[in-house]
Parts: sequence; C-alpha cells; structure tokens
Amino acid sequence: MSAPLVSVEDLHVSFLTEQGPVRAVDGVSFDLEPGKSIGIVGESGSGKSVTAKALMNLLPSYAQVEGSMKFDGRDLREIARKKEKHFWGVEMTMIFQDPMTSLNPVKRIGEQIAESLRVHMNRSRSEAMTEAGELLEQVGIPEPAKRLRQYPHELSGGLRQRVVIAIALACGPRLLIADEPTTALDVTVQKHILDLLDDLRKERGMSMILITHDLGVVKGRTDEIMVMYGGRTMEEAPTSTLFESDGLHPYTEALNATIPKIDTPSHTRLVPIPGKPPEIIGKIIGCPFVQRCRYSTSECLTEMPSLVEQEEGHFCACHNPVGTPEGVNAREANQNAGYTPAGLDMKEFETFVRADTGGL
Amino acid sequence: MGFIFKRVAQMVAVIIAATFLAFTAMSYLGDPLFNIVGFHASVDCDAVLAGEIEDVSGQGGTDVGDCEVVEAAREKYHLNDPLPIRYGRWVGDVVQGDLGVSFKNSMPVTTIIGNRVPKSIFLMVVAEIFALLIAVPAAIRAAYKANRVFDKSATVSSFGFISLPNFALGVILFYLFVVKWQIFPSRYEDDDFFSRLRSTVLPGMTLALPLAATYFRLLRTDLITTLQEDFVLMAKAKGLSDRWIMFRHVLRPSLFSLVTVFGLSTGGLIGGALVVEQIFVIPGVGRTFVEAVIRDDFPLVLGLVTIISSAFIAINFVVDIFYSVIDPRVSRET
Repeated sequence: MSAPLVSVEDLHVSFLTEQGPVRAVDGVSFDLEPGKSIGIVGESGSGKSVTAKALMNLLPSYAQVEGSMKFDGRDLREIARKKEKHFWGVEMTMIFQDPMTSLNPVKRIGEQIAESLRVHMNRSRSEAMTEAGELLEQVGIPEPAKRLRQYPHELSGGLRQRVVIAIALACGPRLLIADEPTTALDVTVQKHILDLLDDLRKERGMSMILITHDLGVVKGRTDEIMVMYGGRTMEEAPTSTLFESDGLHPYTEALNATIPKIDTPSHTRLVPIPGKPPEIIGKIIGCPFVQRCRYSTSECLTEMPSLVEQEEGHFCACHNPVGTPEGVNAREANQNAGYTPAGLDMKEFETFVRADTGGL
Repeated sequence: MGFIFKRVAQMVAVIIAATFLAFTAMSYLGDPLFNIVGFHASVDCDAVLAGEIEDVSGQGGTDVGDCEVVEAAREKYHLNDPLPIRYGRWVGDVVQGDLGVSFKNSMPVTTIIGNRVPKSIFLMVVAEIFALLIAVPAAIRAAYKANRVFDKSATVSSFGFISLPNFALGVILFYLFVVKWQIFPSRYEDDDFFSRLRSTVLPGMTLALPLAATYFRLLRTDLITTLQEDFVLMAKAKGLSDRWIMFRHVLRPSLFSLVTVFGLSTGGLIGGALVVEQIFVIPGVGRTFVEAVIRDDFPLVLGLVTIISSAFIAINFVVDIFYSVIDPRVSRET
C-alpha cells in the first residue's frame, strides 16, 4: 500500500448560524491513494460537498473547520494559511454540478481555459491559447479552434461540462474533485462525461473524488465508495465489495432501492426514503438516520454506532446492519410493532416491500 | 444593418413625438402672439373689425394701429394656419438647420443653443467622471469585504449624499471653497480650458456626490450578487487571486444597473442642472430652458426640446450597445 495522496482524519465542519452551530461534517476520515478514485455518496445535506469544499479551501469564512486534511503529506490548512499561490488549481482542482453556471457567461471559452495556464504556469497569452486548444481536443470537443472563440451560452450542456473539465485539467492536477459532475446533464450525456473522466484519470494517473447522490453513477467506476449521511460516514468499502450485497447499512440499502435497475421489470415503483436529511444543530446523540430507518432499535436513539470493520475492508456504522441477525431481528420486531422506536410508521415502507419482491 | 435602421427610425419617432407635444402645449397654454408683439396683442381685433371699438394708434411713437401690428405678426409667423401645418413648417425649417429666432432678443436659436449646450455638456462630463471615480473603487472595496467597517460607513454616507438636497450641498461647497477658503472662483470663467475646468469643479462635485452615492449602491449590490455565482467559486477553485477574480470575472457582469442609471442621469444632465447652474451662476442649458419657458419663447423652447431629446436618445442608444459589449448574450436584434 503506497502512501496516500489525500488523507482526511476526523474532519469536522460546522457553520455558525443564529440557531447555533450547524454540523455539516461530523468526524469524517478517509484516505485516497495516488491514481485511485473514491465515490462519496449521499443525499443533499449529507455533508459530501462541504467535505470537498473544505479540501479545496472554498468554505466561507464563517465555517469552522477542525481535524486534519493532508495532501501528499502536507497540511492543507497550513497551505491555506500561507496563501500559497500555485496550489489549488494546480495540484488539485474541482468541477461543479452545473456547467451552465460554473462558466463565466461573459468570457470566451479560450480565455477561461488559458487564464489558469497564464496565472500558474507563466505561459504567454498565445502559448496558453494553443494549449487550451489541445485541452479541448483531449476532452473530446470537435473544432477546438472555433470553440475557443465562443462564449459558454453558444455550447450545449455536455460540451460545457467538457470545457469545465478541460479547465480543471489545464495545470495537470494530481487530484480532481468532481462534485455531481453529471447531475445537471441529460442521461445520454451523463455516461459520456463519466467515461471521459474515467479515461482521463487513467491516462494521467490522477486521483479522483467523485461526489454524487446517485449510487448508480459510482457503481463500477470508482475504486472505493463512502456513503455519507448527516455529516458522518455510514459505510465505506471497495466498490466491488459494497455491491456484492445492496450494502450493509440500512441507508445504503435504501439509496440502492431508489435507483432504477436494468433488470427490474417495468412499472416497478421506486422506493423513496421517508423523511428528509436532518439539519444537525448542536450535539446529537444517537444515529442521525434513526428517524428514517426501519432497522432501528432503542439503542439507535441513544448511541451513535461507530464505524466498524464488518468484513475485510468493509466498514459500516450501524448497530443492526442489513443481513446480520441483529438487523433481521430489529426489522421483524419493528414490522410486528407497526412502527419503529423512533416513531416511524412501518407502513411508509410498504411500497418498498412490493418493489423488493418485484425486483427479485 | 437592420438594427441601425430600426434604431434611427425609433429615434426620429421619439423626437417628433416630443417636439409635437411641446409645440401643442406651448400653443394652447401660452399665447405666442403676446410674446411676439407684446401689448399690441391685448387689443380685441375682432371687435375693431366689427367697428365696435377703435384701433388706437400704436405704442412707441408709430402711427401703426395695434391690429395692424398683430396682423403683420400673424402673417409673418403664420399664426393663422392650423396647428399641424405650423408644426409641419417648423419641422421643415429644422431639417434645413433653422431653429428660428428667439422672441426675446431675435438671436437665432442655434446660436443660443450652440453657446449654452457645450457648457452643460462639459459640466455633465466632469460630474460623471467624478461620480465614477468615487463610486467604482468604493463599490469594489465595499463588496469585497461586505458588511465590514468600510462597507458600512460607505453605505451610511451614501444614504447621506442621496438624501441631501442638491441646493444644500451646492451652497455648503460654495461657502467652503469659494467664500471661506477662496480656492475656486465665484464667477463662471470661460477664457480657456483650464479656467472653465476650475469653474466646473465645484458644480461638478455638487452633481457628482449624490450620483456617486447612487452608483455606489447599485454597483455594490450587483457585485455582491455576482460574487455568489458558481463561476466565482469555479474561479477560486482554479486558484485565481481575489484581485484577478474581482477585476476579470466579477466586475463586467455586474455593470448592468450602473450602466442603465448612468445613461439616464447623463441624459438628464444634458438638459442642464438648473439648481446647480443657478448657485454657481453657469449660463448653461438649465437656466436658459427655464427662462425660455417662463417667457413662452416658442422657438427657443422647441429648439431645446429637440436637442435634449436627441441627446437622450443618442445616449440610450450607446447604453444599449454597451449592454451587448458587457454581455455577449444580449442580442442586438432585440
């Protein structure tokens, strides 16, 4: 095992609000080796984007960050404090969800790619422009010379996201963070963009953090998957291990049930997860998912399960993981009682049961 | 090409509408005859013709009867014709570059306007330059560190300058810089460029400060809005410096409101700044305009309306073009 490129340990991010500090990220740790990729999965509000922004030093000034973030052994917060000029944008970059808004509408595509090269790599205007053209070609944009002179609104969504990727790759980063890179795109375009990111990553030996709410996006793509909920890591495993089952954690299982699969019969109803992600103000006791979980026991209300290795390389933070005797018992007990210890009506899951059998 | 043609047609239509309105209003609300021939016009000529009263001899030692003077004036100025025909005749003259002569002193209106308009334009240019020089850097600074000390104090003082009446500010500046410290001349001097500039600094400042306050508030708000955009986050992720992001990414798309209000206020200032011209005794368009209206000086009022509305439209035309320079998404065809 080589030394990790990115090493995050016990990261906490909270935002100071009038109601008190909102804990967006609450003790997240992960390592990422050079050339490897990790998928961070969770609903909006689960803390995945905040984790990425913390790494990129993009959090607003009222965010409080604790814990350690290292890049190639160097402390990221130290780099931020020293206001190092050629780190972000060079060593690590990030692309965002919506290519419609992440490009400056009043600047030509060419300038927007070339400016990173001019600022960080000391290229002249014309050198930078030539390189920008080459980058456009690498991300599969036809007629790069013409595109360089166009404005973002003259391009389709898919092309724009390719431009965004070209910008991110301009200075040859070692880490690319992609925050929901395909969420705003058409389904047909999504696959092209994800394949492109995969190819570029392999070509360049780059590491990647792929953030998504859609387990289907990371399935079979990233080396590892980390499922986040309420600012915490719920489950973490190599992708192949995780997808051997539908996940050990009830949340992962529930997320899985929301994805349409190719082999499910048509007209099978997808199962929503009842409730919505919590906004965690102040200190919480117990598991953040308990309000929406059908495997919950009274223990879940009072004690936060810690992240334990359930099987080789497969970590899960749950008192009653799916498929274990505890899990089966808890679910049966809740089913018989009609509601969970957290007061959730089990009828909410009825659609779930139907889809479950339909899928089998 | 079609765009230019459309705009020119629009311009002509607006000028015709404005001058026709002014022409009609002046004809019905004032008495052109009275302004041409003075007290001669007060004689009831219909009664004279009917033989009910006698047309006494003219004033000023002539033995021409009042009604004859009136009749001559009516002939000369075509006042017997219906209004649309008189308007049409006026337009015909304007097209040939003839705006008529002032009733007051028989000077050609073009000469009067040619004398006054440059002074007002000069004042306007100086005021707008001051206003932008104050507002733009202040807004950038304030938006960059929003809700900090500089932003808050600038916002409060901008309120002050917006709510302070023009004449009060003008009088205060006049008292301080002319009366007390005697830095600037008390009379309007127009011998060369520098004396003109010296005479225009204070009135320019009087106009500029409230304008700058308005510009500051508009630009600050727009900058803060733009700073929330995703592309700014993206620019930060590219590792660009705050200064680079502010000047090369944020400023340009934030100029819309500023440009709009700039166009309107510039157009307004071409029509003169009456109060300020009065305080600083500048023989500009504003004072001329008011005097002309009070005296019912028909040709002069119409001439000024023509010039001012043309200037207004021309400036808005430039502003519209500027929109598409700021933002390539703004199509010129719309």
